[in-house]
Amino acid sequence: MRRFLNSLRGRLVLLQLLLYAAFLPLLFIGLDALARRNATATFTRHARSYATSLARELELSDTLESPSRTVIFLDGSVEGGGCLYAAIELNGRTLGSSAVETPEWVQARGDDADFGGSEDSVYAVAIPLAREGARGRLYLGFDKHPTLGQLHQARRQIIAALGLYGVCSLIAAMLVAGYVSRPLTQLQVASRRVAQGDKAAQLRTDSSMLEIVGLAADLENMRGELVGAADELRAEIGQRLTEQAERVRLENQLRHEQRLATVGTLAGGIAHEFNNILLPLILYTEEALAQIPADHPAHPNLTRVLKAANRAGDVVAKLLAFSRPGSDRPLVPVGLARVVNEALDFSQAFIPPNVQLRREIAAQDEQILGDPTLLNQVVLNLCSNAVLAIGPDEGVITVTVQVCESASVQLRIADTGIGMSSEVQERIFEPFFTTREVGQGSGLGLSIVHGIVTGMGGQVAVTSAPHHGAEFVLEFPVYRS
Amino acid sequence: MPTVLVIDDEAQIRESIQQVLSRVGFTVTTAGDGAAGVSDFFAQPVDVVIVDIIMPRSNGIEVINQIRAQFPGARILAISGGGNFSSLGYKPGTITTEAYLASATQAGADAVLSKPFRRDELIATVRNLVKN
Repeated sequence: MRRFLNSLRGRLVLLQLLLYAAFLPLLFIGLDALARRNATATFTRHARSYATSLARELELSDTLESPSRTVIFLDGSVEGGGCLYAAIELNGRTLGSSAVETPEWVQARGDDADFGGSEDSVYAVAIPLAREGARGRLYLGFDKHPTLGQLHQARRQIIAALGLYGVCSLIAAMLVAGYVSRPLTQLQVASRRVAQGDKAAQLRTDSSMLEIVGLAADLENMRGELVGAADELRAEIGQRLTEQAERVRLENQLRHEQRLATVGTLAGGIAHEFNNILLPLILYTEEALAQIPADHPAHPNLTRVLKAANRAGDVVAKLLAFSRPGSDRPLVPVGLARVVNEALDFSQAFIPPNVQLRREIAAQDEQILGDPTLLNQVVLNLCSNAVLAIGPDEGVITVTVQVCESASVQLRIADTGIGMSSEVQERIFEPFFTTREVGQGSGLGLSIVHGIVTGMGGQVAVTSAPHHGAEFVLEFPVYRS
Repeated sequence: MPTVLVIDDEAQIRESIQQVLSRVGFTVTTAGDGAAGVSDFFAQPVDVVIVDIIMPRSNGIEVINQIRAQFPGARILAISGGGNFSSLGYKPGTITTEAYLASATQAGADAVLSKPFRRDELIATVRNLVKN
C-alpha cells in the first residue's frame, strides 16, 4: 500500500480523491440548489398563475353573488388545480369548497412568500378580490409533495451522476497515470541496467510526450557522457595501477640490486682478505712439505692443511665470481639455444629417473654476447637446484629458450619442486644464503649465477611460491653483428 | 745469486714469499708499502720485483709506473688477491683479481699471479723472469 501511495499512479489517485473530497460536496450543494430553485420556481409560478386566473374569473363573473355557485366554483378549482383547499373571504364572510375542508389557519397564514421547506406540505396563496365595492381574498392551498418528490429524485440523480463521474475519473486518472508512468518505468529499468554495468543499455522510451521524450534524450546524453567518463576513469585507474605496479617492481629490483651490489662489495673485500691469508698458509705448508720426507709424521697433516687451504681458495674464487660486475674474459657472440642444449645434454648425467626434463628450445638463430663456459655453469647450477627442489618425488624441469618482444632472449628454467617463500626469494641471490642443511651446499651457486648473468648484461629473476615450484627467468640482450 | 724485492703490505705474505724463494737460491729483500719499495729498488736495483697491486698509500700500479719510468728493463711480477677496491682508483668498475692483474700488465708488469698461488708457480714464474 505504501509502495502504491509513493508511486506516480498512487499519487495521482490520491490527488483525485482529495479533489473529490474538497469539490464534490460543493458541486452537489450547487447542483441541488439549482434543481430546487428551478423546481420551486416552476411550482410557485404555476400556482400563482392559476390562483390569479381564478381571481380574475371571479371578479369578472357573478359567481360571487351566489354562495352556492361560489362553493361550486371553489370545488371546481380544487379538482382542476390540484389544490388542497380553496376558500374565499369576502366582506368578512368566508366560504370554502365543499369537497375539501378548509383548515382554520388559512386566513391567518395568508400568502406564502416562497416555496419554503419540506416541513410543511402546503403552499398557501392569497389573491385579493375586488368587485363593485366588495373586497376580499381568494385563498388556495397547493400540495408541495409532488415537487418535493421531484426534488428528492433530482438529488438522487445528482448523487448518482457525481458518483459515476468520480469512479470514471478515478479510472481515467489511473489510466493516465499508467500512460505517464510507463515510459518513466522504461527509463528506470534501462538506468538500472546501466548502473549494473550494462553500458550498452540505452535510455529510450516509446512515449510520444514531449516532456518524456526530452527527458529521455537528456538522460541518454548524460548516460553517454557518464559511460565515456567512466571508461576513461577506468582506463586511467588501470594505467595508474599498472604504472604503480611497475614502479614498485622497479623499486624492488633496484633495492635488490643495490643490496646485492653491497653484498658483492663486501664479498669482494672479504675475498681479498682471505686470499691474503691463504697465500702464506699455502706457501708455508708447501714449503714445509718440501722440507720433510714423505714418511714424516707431520706430512699427512700438512697435506690436509694444504687441501683445506685449497678448498678455501675455491670458495673465495666463487665469492669473487659473484662480486664481479663484468666478465673477466672477453664476451663473444654465442647461440644461447645451442649452449643450453649442450648443458642439458650434460645435465642428464645427474638428473635422476624421477625427474622429467622437458626442452622447449626456440630462438635457434639468436645470439647473445656471453661466455659459453659460464653459461654452461649457469644452466647446470639451476638444473642442479631444480633437482634438489623436486627431491625424491616425481617432478618436471622445463627449460625454455625464446625471443622476447624487448629484443632479448629469455632462458626459463622451471621446476615443480617445493618452491620458496617471498622472504627466501628476496635473499636467494645473496652469497652464502642457503635453505639447505649445513654441509649440503655453500650458498654460492645462485650468487654466482647472478654474477655471471649480470656480467653479461643480462637480468635474472625468480618467481615462486611454497609448494608450487619455482621458475628462474634469465634475460639477455640479443646480439646484432 | 738472483735478487728479488717483495713489496706487499701483508707481512706474512712478504715473509712466506721470502722464505720460499730464499730456499731455492734467491736473495730476497722486502718492503711494506709501495713508496718504500720504490725507494729500496732505486737504492739497490734487483733482478725481479714482486709487487702487490692493492696496497694503502702507494699502490702496485704506481710502483710499476715509477720503476718502469726509471728502469724500463726491470722485471716485475704483479700479484693480487682481487676484491672490490675501485675506490682506490684501480680501473673503476672492475673488482676481480684478473681485472687488477690486467691493469698491472697494461702498466708494464712482465708476469702476474693471482693469490693464492702455489709455491711451484711462484718459483717457476720468478725463475722464468730471471732467465729472460
